[in-house]
Amino acid sequence: MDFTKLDQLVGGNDDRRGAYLTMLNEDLTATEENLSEAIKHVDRERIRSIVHRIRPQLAFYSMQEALQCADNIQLVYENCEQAMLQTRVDQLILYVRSARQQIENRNTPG
Amino acid sequence: MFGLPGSKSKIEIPLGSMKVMNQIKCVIIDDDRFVRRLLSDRLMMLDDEVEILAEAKDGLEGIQVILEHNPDLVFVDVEMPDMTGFELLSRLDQIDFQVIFITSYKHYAIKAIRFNALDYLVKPIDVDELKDALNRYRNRIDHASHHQAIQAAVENVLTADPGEQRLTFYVGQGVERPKLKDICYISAEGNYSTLSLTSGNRIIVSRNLGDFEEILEDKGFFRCHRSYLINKRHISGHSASEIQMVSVDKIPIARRKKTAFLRWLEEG
Repeated sequence: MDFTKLDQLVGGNDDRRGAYLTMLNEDLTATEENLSEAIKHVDRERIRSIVHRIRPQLAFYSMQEALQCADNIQLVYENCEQAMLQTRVDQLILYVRSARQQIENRNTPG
Repeated sequence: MFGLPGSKSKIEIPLGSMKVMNQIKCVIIDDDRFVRRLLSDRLMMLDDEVEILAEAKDGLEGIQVILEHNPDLVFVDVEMPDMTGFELLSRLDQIDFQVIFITSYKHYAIKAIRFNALDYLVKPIDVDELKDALNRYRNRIDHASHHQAIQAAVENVLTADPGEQRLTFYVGQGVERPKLKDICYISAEGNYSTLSLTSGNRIIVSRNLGDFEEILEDKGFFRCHRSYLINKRHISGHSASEIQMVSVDKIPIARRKKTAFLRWLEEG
């Protein structure tokens, strides 16, 4: 994850920085939960919509691997085999979880 | 100071009111709160003449804020859960504001937007692209033409028959909006392209042929030569090296394009 763009945007304002990171954390949490639910029901359109929704933040924070995975899902979600979709979605969930962990670590003093 | 006594106030324009003249009243419509916040922060940072009147999180709310605030400029997401940005615009009786679409990377709608020479920003909003879009907004003198282009984009999205869809170009002081079915072929002239219409008229625009190929390839057009893009609707016959158009014009086929041309022709 890269916070350069965020730092340029908020210019040292910790409150604004915190607001963006809280939003990111909440949206990543929602993404993880919603993806788990959608893949359980093999709801392909919902998976596409969840991925589409989180993509701007993945790009803004330069989460390259997650971004590639998200783009790949958007490319194949309609016609790929269920097992393949499951693998991709599981992979994205792992990236999302890891990003949340990074945010939490940054927020933990010491 | 010249002028009659008491006329001073008519000559001097207070600085405050000049600023109001330059002010851009905006609304932002996007279902993603991150994008709304990012765009709003970037706008405030970039330009102190931009005033954000309201934000909306979906299409219906978007219609309300437009009607309520009468903005100069609307940033609208192409894809929202309740409706597309185009549908939103189609539900308004009158479009008397400018529009900048917000869209995802490689979204199919980018083609539709470029088709009508409209502006768009790709998420997450890049600061330089936003700056350029605001400059284009300011430099656009003919706002009426831009409103026509938006109207054309909306009509295109609502028109199922590609032949009835229109391209929009700003030419000189005016705007040209030919229907696709009325374009016979497009030829390259350096950095310019010439559209040859069935009426016999020609429109010269400062766009390269590759641009047209990209937006028209799935609408009955084919690049048969590096200098020509032809409309299938107006082919009357062909030989091994030339295509005869319904008009008297003959268009060359590049040798390496021959097989692809024949395949495309058979596709119906």
